[in-house]
Amino acid sequence: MLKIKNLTKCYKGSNKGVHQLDLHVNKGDLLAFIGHNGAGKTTTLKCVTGIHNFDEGEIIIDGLNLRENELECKRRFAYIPDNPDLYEYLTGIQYLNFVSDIFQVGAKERRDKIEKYADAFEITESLGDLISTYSHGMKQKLAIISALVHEPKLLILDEPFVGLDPKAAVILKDMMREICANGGAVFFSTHVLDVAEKLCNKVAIIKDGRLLASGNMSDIVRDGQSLEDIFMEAVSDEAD
Amino acid sequence: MRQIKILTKLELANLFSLNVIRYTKDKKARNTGIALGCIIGFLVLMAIAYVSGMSYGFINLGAGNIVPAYIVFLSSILTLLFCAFKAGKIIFKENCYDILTSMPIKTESLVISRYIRLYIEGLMVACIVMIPGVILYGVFERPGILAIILGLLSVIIVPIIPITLSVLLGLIITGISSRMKNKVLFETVFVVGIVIAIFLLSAFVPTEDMENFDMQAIKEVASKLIDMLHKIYPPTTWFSKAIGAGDVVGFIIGVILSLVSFLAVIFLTTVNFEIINRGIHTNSAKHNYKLGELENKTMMKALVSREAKRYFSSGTYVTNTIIGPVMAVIFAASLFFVDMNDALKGLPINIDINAAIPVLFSGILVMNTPIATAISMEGKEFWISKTLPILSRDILKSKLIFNAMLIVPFYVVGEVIMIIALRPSITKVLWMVVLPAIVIVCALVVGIAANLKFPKLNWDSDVEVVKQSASALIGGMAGFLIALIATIPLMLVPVRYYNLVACVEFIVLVIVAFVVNEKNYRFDMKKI
Repeated sequence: MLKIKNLTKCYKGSNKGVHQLDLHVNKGDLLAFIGHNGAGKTTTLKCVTGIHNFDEGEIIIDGLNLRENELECKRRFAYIPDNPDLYEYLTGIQYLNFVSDIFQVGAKERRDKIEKYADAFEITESLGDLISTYSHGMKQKLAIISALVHEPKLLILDEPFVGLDPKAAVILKDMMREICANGGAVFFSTHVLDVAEKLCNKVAIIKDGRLLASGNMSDIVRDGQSLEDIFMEAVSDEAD
Repeated sequence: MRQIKILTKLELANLFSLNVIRYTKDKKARNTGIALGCIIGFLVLMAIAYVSGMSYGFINLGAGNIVPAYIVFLSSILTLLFCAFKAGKIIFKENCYDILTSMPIKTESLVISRYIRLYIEGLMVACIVMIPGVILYGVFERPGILAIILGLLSVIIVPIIPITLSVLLGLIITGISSRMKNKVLFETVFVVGIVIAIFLLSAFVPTEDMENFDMQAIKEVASKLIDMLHKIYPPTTWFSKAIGAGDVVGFIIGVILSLVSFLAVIFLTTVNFEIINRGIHTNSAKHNYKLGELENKTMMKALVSREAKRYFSSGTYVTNTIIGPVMAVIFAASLFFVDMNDALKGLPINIDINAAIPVLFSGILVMNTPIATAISMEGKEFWISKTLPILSRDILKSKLIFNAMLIVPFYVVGEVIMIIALRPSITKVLWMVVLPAIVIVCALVVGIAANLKFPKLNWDSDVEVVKQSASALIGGMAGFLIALIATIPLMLVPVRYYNLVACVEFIVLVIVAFVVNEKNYRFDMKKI
């Protein structure tokens, strides 16, 4: 579903960025992308979603090269950033309609989807209010609904659990599993290692823009260790 | 006092984005800042040249006594224009409100620090306008050393009253709109109403003797103008007496009244600070939405509709960009009462201003066009446009369509008025319609190009984008400059060559619009 080959993205005037990163997310995969602050997680996600240009490498989404078929690639994925800055001058339903219009989701189909997800997240009654009146968690929920309304094959999320209440976090996890069960894939960054360990079948650890480890969760987390132990080991090994 | 010092330092740290330019590692942000600095520097030099030229002109014409009143009035009115419509936003800005109010900070310290920030901007205007005038007046009119000293001291005092008036206006607008449901509509109507009122009042300036360029008439006009400036803005009286004749009493009255007005507005703002902020920051939510039938639109309709909602959601955006179209229509309507060719009879060269009026009209129409900041106004939400499956050209096209929709009603009304007022021949009607239209198109695409070159997505208040960004300055001026350049040949050309010149201008503007637009469409949005 997602192949990142030799991805390199450097920021001018800084040695930060991502260097020669290789990562594969197959259909049905739920991959947690972990690393400390400034490790290069968000940069990678922004390159994959077309927000940033990258210097070298290839990004293939559902068999399509991002550089050559950017629009088609964007039709196949949905992205939710860590801080959902949404159009505050629109109401919740106007925003969902806007996204649905861009993806050309039919009137009945969008209504059914919005009803399903908005009811699940318990924000249906707030959909007529301006987004500027929403709390951080409500904006996050709205961003999630807008991402799911067009049935993406690949869901890309940056720190999706920040600001969500426990019930919403459980619902989101179920939705992520559902996408994978239906042949899609989920690629998300997180600092919550417990969640990553329990939820994901794959994990990738990044440090200073370079991939330290990646693979099946069961292969990486072994011998009674937790993902947290593995992460701390990997990060401190590098430091040594 | 210590609090005021710390808070003022914080307020001034990023004035004109200086702190960002100083510390950013992003070369593009730095270059944009430097470009903005160069533009402001150029404008400052132009302003100094203009004020010096006017002051020297008055002195040369034997009307040097008008210079003190002229510089005090000009400095005050410019300060008022720069600060009046943003004072409310700066005094009651939302950024860091929660953090600052949770700290042990006195409200008056917060208000005074923000007032000082506005005062520094006013002081800059006063320095640009008044210092050259005082120096020229001192050198050529020789009013004495005391007058020059009082003149230079007046530079520090003169901005206080206009800043106080700006803060008072901001207090009234923000105070009333914070209690209203449709804040943007109130702000827009109020501000546009004030601008129209100022415009209409200026129509009563005495002009009866302007056509005769003899010395006696000039002195009479100068004396009338001084009286008029004193009446319109009474503080001019005290300060111009101080600069003109070294009148210490006038100066002291000016200082006392400035300080009293400052203290009064600080008191009023401090007393109402919390209640107004509560009104601004409290958003009413109904929580009663019931999902009904939903309609789908085409992608372009959805994008244009988003543009419209973005535009009408910001009072600052609307008030600053709608003034041009409103002024353009007033300008067109003034043709019923003023014959421009008659008004310019006294000039040494023979020009036909009526031939160029429609192009000038279009120049005023696109002054401060919203498209010059349409990308910047997406701000931190620009990630949405970047990640959705939309071509860059469609995003830009939606901005062009919305801006055209905004301008067309004013253009049509203005055109109809001008055709009725000027009664041109059929051929001239064609050029009257076509040339302004292509100037508008050109201004729009150049406006977008300016914003693509100088985007500003990271902002806390829309004032930073609409009034202070490089693209607002460049894009805002570009349309008027295009119109001005197109105006000159049309005014000067003999009648028999008019059609040829108009045709050449039209073709050149079509080519410019096409080339710039194609370049815009090929722009890689990821670079922003």
